Amino acid sequence: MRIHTNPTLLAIAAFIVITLIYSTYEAESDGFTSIGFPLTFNKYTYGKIDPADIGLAHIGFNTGNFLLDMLVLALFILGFNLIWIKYLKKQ
Amino acid sequence: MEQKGGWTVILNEYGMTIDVLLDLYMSLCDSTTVKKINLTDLGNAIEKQLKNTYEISYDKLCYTTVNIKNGLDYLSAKKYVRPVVKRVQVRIKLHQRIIYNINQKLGNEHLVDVRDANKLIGLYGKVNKIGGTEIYLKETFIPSIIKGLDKNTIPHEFGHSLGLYHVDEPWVWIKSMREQWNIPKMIKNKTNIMFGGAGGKLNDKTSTTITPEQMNIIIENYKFGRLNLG
Repeated sequence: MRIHTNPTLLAIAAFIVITLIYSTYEAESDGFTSIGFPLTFNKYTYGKIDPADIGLAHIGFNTGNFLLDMLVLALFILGFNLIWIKYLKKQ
Repeated sequence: MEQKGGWTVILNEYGMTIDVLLDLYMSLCDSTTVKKINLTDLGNAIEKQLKNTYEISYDKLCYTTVNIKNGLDYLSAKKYVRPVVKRVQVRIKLHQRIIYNINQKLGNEHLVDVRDANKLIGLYGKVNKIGGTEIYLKETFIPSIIKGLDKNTIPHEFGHSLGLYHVDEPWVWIKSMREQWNIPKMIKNKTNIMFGGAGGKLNDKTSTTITPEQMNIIIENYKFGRLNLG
């Protein structure tokens, strides 16, 4: 299957928008900012950290989750290209 | 400037003095499963720590308009702006009540909610948003707050509730230019309450002060509707 530019850019834009909506932004008020869709790949806080259970909070960059998110992005691109080829390109 | 519930900032100006009253209606709730927190003691500790941090006095440069009447010197009447230094005195007044369920919170009343450790993993406490009305505290740290061993967490979280940002947070200048401090300013004000936790500058016992500039920001935040945001 040939990958087209327009649906690919659209898929990337849609993925970024969904990621931004799905993420939480609480670091400025001492909570966690969690970025990533569907899995959080980056989590950080500017608040006071409790050393006792910080390991359970999974702070930092998570490479595994990032790669899975990229896989979902690839599926987005494939899906958008399929829709493009099947329905929109003919018109 | 009057708003129902939550924070109310009342300014009374007389002569060379400006009285600032930070008035807060709040409720305290213990949402932990075991419910063994003494909320009366916690309320007293909150009041004591907020008074210790926020009741400050400082000099502020103000500008007043002066009218000069025409007189014997045949000069025409005119107005001019004169700089004057006024003394600002800040007081804080808390109206607290204890509730047994967070649903009992009234209107724009602020909520201090003590939560189980597993609801605030990795944190001491947090506020729902900058200028927000909900403050969550981790139950693990309540005994040290009540005993006075931790004098920072309460003023810090209430600082967020008063619209203050972390002074050492990257990119904070986008939201509030004056709250992005440079290194000399951080060194000068090393006991400030609003350092971020990750920077290692906060100390539970000694980080208890705010600057006059931060107090002016709080007053402006109230004026421009950036407090009691729900």
